[in-house]
Amino acid sequence: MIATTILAVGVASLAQLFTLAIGSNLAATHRTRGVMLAAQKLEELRSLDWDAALRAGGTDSVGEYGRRWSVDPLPLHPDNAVTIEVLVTWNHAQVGRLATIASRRTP
Amino acid sequence: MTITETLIASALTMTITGAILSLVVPAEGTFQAQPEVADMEQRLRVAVDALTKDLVMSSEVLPYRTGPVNPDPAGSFFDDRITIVLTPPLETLPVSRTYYLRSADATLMRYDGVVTDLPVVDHVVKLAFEHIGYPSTRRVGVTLRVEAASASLRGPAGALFTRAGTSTTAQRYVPDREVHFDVAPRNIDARP
Repeated sequence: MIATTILAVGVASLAQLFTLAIGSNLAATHRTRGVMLAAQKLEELRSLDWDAALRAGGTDSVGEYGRRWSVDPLPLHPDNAVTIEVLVTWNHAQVGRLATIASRRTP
Repeated sequence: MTITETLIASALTMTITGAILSLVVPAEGTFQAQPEVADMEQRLRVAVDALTKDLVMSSEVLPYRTGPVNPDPAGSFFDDRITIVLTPPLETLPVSRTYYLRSADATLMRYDGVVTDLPVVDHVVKLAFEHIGYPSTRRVGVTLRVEAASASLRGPAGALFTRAGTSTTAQRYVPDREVHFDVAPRNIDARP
């Protein structure tokens, strides 16, 4: 009886490990997708004209993921550079975040 | 312990052992497939890196092949090839690279704009470019699809496989893997 109890406790602990592993894999999948979606939006924002990019803050959703982005003038060079930040959420949790600086090209 | 108890214990042990061993057969297929999955990921990574690196630095992108060897007519449009014009800071003349899919052997190729065509990645079964804002392209969407190198890991042609393989059991299927990514060329406004 004692041996069986010890065995049962050991097996139950292992089962918990499986649950943790599945949860970690799921979280990693969502983080990967989140970063990919953030990169896609970042490239889209970078491709906009300068004036359009300055007004390009907003939100959208791709499937079960939500994206929120902001474009703000860089304090040191507000006329010639902006910081672009994209946040991706899944199930109300942040799973991806990318930021970059884009500069105006003078002809 | 009576003989009856011994028999029941033996029967239980054998049943459990048999169930565990029955998992070994499908696992063998998985063990064969996993290295191939890793290879496919690596091929995708190389292709994405090569294209991204050049697209990011490009000052102009053209939907056709340019250069002295087998050029397409200027102004034509193909969605399966792209010429990336680069203007290195210390060079007087721009250089170009054309990426295209050689369908005969499913190879992603790169032409250096002069005389040489070189393979970049093999077992690429789809390459498509989307020029957003064409003719003044501001962003390029790229779709890449790679297949398992071994035909024994591919099934009949269809949604899962672009090119048919020889596998007859789904336990050994390694479906084609496809990615799509966008790149905004950083120097598109810097061309002379």
